[in-house]
Amino acid sequence: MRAKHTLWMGAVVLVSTTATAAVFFEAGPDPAIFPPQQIPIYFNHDYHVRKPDEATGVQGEGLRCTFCHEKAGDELTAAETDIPGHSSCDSCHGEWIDDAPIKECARCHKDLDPTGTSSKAAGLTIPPANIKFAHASHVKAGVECTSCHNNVPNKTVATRDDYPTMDRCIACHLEKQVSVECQTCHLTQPSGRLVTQFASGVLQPNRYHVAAVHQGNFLKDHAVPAQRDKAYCQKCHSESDCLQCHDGVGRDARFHPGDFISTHFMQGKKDDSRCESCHNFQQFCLNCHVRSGVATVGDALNVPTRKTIRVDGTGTAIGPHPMSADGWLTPQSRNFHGFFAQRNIRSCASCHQEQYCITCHGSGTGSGGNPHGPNPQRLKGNTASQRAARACLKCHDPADSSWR
Amino acid sequence: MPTAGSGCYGARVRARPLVWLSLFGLLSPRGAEAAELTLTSKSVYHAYQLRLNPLTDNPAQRNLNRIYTTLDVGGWAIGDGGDVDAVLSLRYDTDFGTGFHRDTPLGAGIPAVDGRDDLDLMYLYVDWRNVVRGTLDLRAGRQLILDDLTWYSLDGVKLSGHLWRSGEDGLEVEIYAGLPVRIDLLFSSDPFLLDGTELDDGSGVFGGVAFGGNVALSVLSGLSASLAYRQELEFRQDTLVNLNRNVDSAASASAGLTGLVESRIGGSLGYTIRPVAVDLYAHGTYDLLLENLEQARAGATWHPSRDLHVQGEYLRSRPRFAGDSIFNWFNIFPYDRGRVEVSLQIFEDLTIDAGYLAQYFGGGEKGPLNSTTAGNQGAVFDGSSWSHGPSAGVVYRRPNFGFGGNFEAATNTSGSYAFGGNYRVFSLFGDLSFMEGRFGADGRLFVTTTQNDWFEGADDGQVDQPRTSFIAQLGGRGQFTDFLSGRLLFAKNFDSVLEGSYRIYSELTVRY
Repeated sequence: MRAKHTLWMGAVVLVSTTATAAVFFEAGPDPAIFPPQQIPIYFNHDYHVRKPDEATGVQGEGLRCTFCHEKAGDELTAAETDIPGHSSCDSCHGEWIDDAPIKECARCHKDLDPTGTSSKAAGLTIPPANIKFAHASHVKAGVECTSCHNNVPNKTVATRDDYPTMDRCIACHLEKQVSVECQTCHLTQPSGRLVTQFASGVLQPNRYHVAAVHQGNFLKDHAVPAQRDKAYCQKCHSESDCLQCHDGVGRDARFHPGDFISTHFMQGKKDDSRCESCHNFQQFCLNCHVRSGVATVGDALNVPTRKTIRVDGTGTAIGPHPMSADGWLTPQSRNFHGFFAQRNIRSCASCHQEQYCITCHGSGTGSGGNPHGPNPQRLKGNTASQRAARACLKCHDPADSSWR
Repeated sequence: MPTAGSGCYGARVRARPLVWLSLFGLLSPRGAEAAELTLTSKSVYHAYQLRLNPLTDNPAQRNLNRIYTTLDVGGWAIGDGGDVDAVLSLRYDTDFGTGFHRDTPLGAGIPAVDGRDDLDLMYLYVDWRNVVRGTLDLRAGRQLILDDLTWYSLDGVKLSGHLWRSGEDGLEVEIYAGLPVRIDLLFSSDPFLLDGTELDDGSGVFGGVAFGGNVALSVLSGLSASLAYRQELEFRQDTLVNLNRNVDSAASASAGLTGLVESRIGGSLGYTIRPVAVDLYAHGTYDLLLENLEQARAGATWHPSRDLHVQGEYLRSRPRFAGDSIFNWFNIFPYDRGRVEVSLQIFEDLTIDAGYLAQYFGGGEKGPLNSTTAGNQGAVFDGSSWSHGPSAGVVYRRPNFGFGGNFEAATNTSGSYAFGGNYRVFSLFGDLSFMEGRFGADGRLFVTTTQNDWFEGADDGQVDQPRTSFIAQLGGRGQFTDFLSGRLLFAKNFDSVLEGSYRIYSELTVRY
């Protein structure tokens, strides 16, 4: 009972820690969508919005958002930013603005020296958001300002941190049965794919689409997300983008560093399945190995043995793997080739063709032993021997049906 | 029958793609409301030196010059009858040979023609979306099938049905059928072909039929599942006579001319827990022909913000080959691999990442795996079953410049280096951009130490010596106009295999 209680407590702590960390690590809106701003002014939303209460001594103006942002409800694009200017402030603070001394300007403009003589203040830099957005339609639909900008009434200056995150947009769209297709809000190219390159950054999947986040090892391991939801990938990428890397001829330094020709065998010995996403072992690997003198093809009886790539302690060239003198063909040897073929046949297939194996393992020769592993009888009657017998027939005599 | 490296790379041209070309005209919507044509061409010149017969008494340095050009043409139109895209991707890939041929005696000069000279049609299709508004799309032509199985190149027709949609949820179904693209077809490309058989598989233009489909379901705004199946039948013209000289030739002449080369099923399952930004996933493929689990992977990702990314994954894998490859019957044991990775943006401009990978090669402890064969009793695999190692990186990036370093290492347990060997890779890099990012330069230094031994001590006197290579690389890039961009890279190797060789890589891209 006690153990069960401890387990529950542990689970609660884990979940709450995770949730807290998720909130803690949330780092504001994406700069690709909401470019960085410069707002060098003093302003207090909290005071202007707060309702005064003489009974409790609470001070404020109790203004509605539209008192200052009076045109927001008419805005049809994200480029329209109804930032109140002098004329808007003037209605209440006219004495600060009209023919005011510098010290009055410095009440709002951070960069002005109240004791100085220059009245030239830096302007606000608020680049338009890189999305399709119309305040008008949202206001018309009855969306409250604080539904999206929920922290603004409690803040001094509102910044890009007060724009809504995509989580909030989608939650509301789902609730009101508005489309949540990417192109509903994101800018699109004529082809219909999303615009991803902006001066302020590159648009990439965020935590909302955590399965497709392009961080960590995503560049090398995106097969599963691409297979799981290819429609999502196609929002931004065309098949040409896939072929930029996967066509097997380009050589990207992110995957193949400068000395990859001399070091790629390490990946091969690990049998890295990623190789096959761009390369065919019997075409790409084999041909290059043959052309560079590392490998030979044909059957085992008619090809020269190339001793290359490795040298021993005396500087003498030795084979790319242990040769027959080292026990490569001796089943009792720890160097027996069968062990390696059973674990990493792709490494073999990068240098040898099928004939090379058939020379000895063909059923008529009898010299190569049975390569089928323990209990070869298990293979009798299997699907492959019944419906794809060509592989079997390369070694087994078609006239002899005992192997089927 | 042409075989690898014997001059079989001659330009391959067949008429079938011309049939697809005509579809452009047939399916062009009349009275399109809007249309556009885009052209993108990328040309790469890659020159590098290769040391033939390295480490022997008669090494030779060869220059390899490779040029490839791709041409992508995309056209789209929106009209009353649906939206139509027509897409073409053509690639010309050539080099001028190494002057070395597979039949050449060691040390001899050469050369028969051994250069590449391929004209590949990567795809050429017409996409007709909204054949039935919001419900049915059609794609016809040479296309790549991407689903829970591997890449697949097909000349055929694919129908995509959007059967149900509600918010983020939906049910999608795809079915396709056509002729499999083979290496002996002109305009084919090898990365998307089934592996494991000869270069020229002799199946001819209409050597096979393929069909398949997939279903993808998303529900509860975070739970997804998909399932895919594909079958390929082949009808071959060649016989088995030349492959196995030791069997009955008369019977071989007619055996194995038809059969299945692929029958696979694959699926994936994913669940995104959005409130905590966690994604759980699993994926697997099963070969119905060989009755083997080919790949299975499961993992979790946590990405609470752009500052932190954590991922862990388990993978079990065994090679995939065409059903008629004998390599299927030799690779008996899968390997298991686990990795964890963390990427953390410490400050706004400074990011570090770290990871660890461990791999287990199965079967070693099981002893004499072929002990049922006379003479094989007593064979015991004595190599290391584990390979593991860390990786780490740090990068400091400002808008106009960045620099950093990466490190990766792996080793095998038990002092044996049979799988993955021992290696350590260090790299330092720096880059800068100017003129509002339109131009840039970068440099990299690599230091790699490897030891490619098999069994230390077992082959006395043949223990490979540890090898260290240095690479220095300098590059530049430019966006000259809105339509024209390019890259140039120069690298020099200081390495016992490549021994002071050079590499030049240049790329020119034109977009219209």
